[in-house]
Amino acid sequence: MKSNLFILTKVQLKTGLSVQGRGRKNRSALLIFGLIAVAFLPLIIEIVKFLSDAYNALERIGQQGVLLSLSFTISSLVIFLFGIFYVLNIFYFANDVESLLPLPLKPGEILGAKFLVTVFYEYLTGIAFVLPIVAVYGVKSGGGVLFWLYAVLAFLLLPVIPLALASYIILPLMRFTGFAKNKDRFRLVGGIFALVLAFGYSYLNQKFVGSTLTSEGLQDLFLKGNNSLVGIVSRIFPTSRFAAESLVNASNISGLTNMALFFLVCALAFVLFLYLGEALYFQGVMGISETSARRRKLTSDELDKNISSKSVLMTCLLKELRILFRTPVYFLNCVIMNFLYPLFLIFPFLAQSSAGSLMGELGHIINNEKFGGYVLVGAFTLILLVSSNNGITSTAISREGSNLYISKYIPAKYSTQIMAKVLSGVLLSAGGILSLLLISAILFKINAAMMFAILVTGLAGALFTAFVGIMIDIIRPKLNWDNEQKAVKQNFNMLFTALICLAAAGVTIFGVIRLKLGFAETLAAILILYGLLDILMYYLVKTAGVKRFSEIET
Amino acid sequence: MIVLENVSKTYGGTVKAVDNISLTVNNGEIFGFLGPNGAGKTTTIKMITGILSPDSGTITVNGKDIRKEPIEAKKQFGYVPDDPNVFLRLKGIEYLNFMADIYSVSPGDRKQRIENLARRFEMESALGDRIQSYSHGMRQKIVLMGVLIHDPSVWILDEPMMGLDPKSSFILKEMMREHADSGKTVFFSTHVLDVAEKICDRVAIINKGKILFCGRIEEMKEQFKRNESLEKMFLELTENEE
Ligand SMILES: Nc1ncnc2c1ncn2[C@@H]1O[C@H](COP(=O)(O)OP(=O)(O)OP(=O)(O)O)[C@@H](O)[C@H]1O
Ligand SMILES: [Mg+2]
Repeated sequence: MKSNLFILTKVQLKTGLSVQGRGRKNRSALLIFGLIAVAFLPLIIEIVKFLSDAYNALERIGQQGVLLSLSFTISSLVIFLFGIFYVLNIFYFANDVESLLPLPLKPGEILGAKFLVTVFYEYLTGIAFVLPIVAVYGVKSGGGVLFWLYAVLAFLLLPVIPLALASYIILPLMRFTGFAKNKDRFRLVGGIFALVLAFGYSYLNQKFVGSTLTSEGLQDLFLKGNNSLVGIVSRIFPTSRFAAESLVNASNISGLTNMALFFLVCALAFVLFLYLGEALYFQGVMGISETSARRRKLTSDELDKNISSKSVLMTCLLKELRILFRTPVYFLNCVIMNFLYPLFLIFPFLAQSSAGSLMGELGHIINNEKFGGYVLVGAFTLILLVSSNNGITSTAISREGSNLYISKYIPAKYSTQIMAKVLSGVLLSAGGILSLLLISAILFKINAAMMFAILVTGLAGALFTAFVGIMIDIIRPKLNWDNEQKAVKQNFNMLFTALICLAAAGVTIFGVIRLKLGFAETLAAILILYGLLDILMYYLVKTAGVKRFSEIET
Repeated sequence: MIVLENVSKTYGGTVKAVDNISLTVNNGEIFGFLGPNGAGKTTTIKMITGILSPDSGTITVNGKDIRKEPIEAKKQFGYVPDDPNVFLRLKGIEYLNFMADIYSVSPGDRKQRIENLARRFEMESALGDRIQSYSHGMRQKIVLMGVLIHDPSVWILDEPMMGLDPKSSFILKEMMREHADSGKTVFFSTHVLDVAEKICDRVAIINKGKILFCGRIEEMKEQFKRNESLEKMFLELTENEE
């Protein structure tokens, strides 16, 4: 059993991690990572500075431990939420499941390997949330060998419990519900479920933390000193407490006992997971099919409805939208986010008990004419960021994958086919703009002039991001993928587009603030600037873009 | 009519997949394109259809150069690729309608052809489902229907019989014959030499990117001075090339 587990884990890691193929591409990926790291260096320095300031402040009241427990708790939470996705995708919907099932393997071996692989993936999350804080804490508190040893152990073990929890939810769900019969539908339901969970969790947390940490309660806690705040923060994710306590008390025996407890809980969680897996996995994973079929003859009416004539542009656009909406990975990553992000933004406000007054105050600021220019450029920036992050155009060519050749032999101009993709991006971004307008109209009661201004500048911005995205994806499309996940999630083009648009947004904000532009001036400036940029990009796509597109060979 | 003149294609600077070939496929004939695995058939077909661009040489379809007038040239032919996994998330009917829109088929023709083709290929009850749910042969059929719906004058088919059941492959062969007999062109690649021997007016045999023989099967027999099966001659021809 042990060796099978080991071999499976190795194979899965290898196939999973070869993100961008070999050779030149790999090197360029490395270069990109390097560039990003350099670009973020100032930010990282800022974060470290902030953390060490926070440490100093907390140390004065004997609460520096709260930093550790905060980082463990938050990363446990994030790992748990990601875990739901990972468990669904890696355990049930991965392409290798079908080839593993006929092999003489025990469910425990397959699941054990998949669990370990998922743990490895989650280390990435861990690095982001744990590493900086633990490092700052360790250096500041002058942690000894034991501290660092416990830190490494805590880091390695951290994903086990949240992932096990995610599996306890998913395993029975897949075994006992009928959803599981259809891969596509369930991917969608699973994704939406995770989103709802994310909302719910953040809502409850806000409520919980908000009510416990009243100013009196907080003062009381601080006065007690001795890092008792750790207990409160860790209550959100109870097990991470052991890890935090063990690092805080690394120098005395309590550190050891806490680490031992943490280890024990992790081991128990894993054993329970294997036990559940043996009982539930095979039954749940078998009989998952890609899609359902009715096999019913269309009536003459249905046929008529289905065969309306459209122009080439419209038929290409329709095809694009159908595939976007029907492929769960695309739907979750590219479509749904456009409509949900305003919710994410206002959620923290809603969860606060004093939400009403806060909203009102914000509404006042937003509706204050003095700030009109800033509000407009703020909304514009938001739209620019969201529509450059939806990846609709920046993965549009990549998403064609092995079907790209169809674009080449049909008698439709390349420029028309490309514009259909641009249009699909603008259309969905427009949906995002409308949902932002709707929510801010309800919550902040913004006036009609502002709504109109956000709408037109937003459209100009959405068009710009769509052109930037398609141009980048034409230049370096990622066509060699075997599952759709790779076309969007592991595609650097999305990141490039987002970075370029981030830079554009930065310049725009800077300009408006620097020149102290009012509402009307900001509106005019954005419209003229992005109007010109849009025209420029349109020509670029029409000429260089089309030429490059014609040269792509699969 | 398809004309290739001195066409070459090298992949990635090393693999010479097609090496200076010239071919003419006339109106009114079924032309079979034969050769062992990796001989260069699919590469040649992809160049004719505009999916790949040749390193050198010219290709015209009904007199339209695929590089100089791509849209006009592409309107002349219908193409069945060797891999029938097209737009899996679309329903069969949506795929057919997409193709009809691209080739601007009139609404009247559209309905009549869809009904007719669905009946002939027994796909009536599958049209409302996604292509994803189709078997290999059904996917092959929907792609074939996507070609026939716009009634192109030149048919270019890459291993069209692969995966078809006996009845469908019989119907397809019948349709190829009808099409050629009405003065139009059928160009297809195949590994099934019995089929090629029975229905082709002319064949070309390609190996390692070079044409070894091009002409009628009787001519090949004369060349061999023996009355052998196409299979025997094919094996001998492709063996001798070291
Ligand atoms: N995308 C590609 N990149 C590199 N080499 C390729 C590519 N496609 C084909 N080749 C090579 O070109 C040559 C011709 O391949 P082609 O697909 O045209 O053969 P074929 O005659 O269609 O074979 P089969 O009967 O197997 O379909 C082969 O040596 C093949 O390895
Ligand atoms: Mg081939």
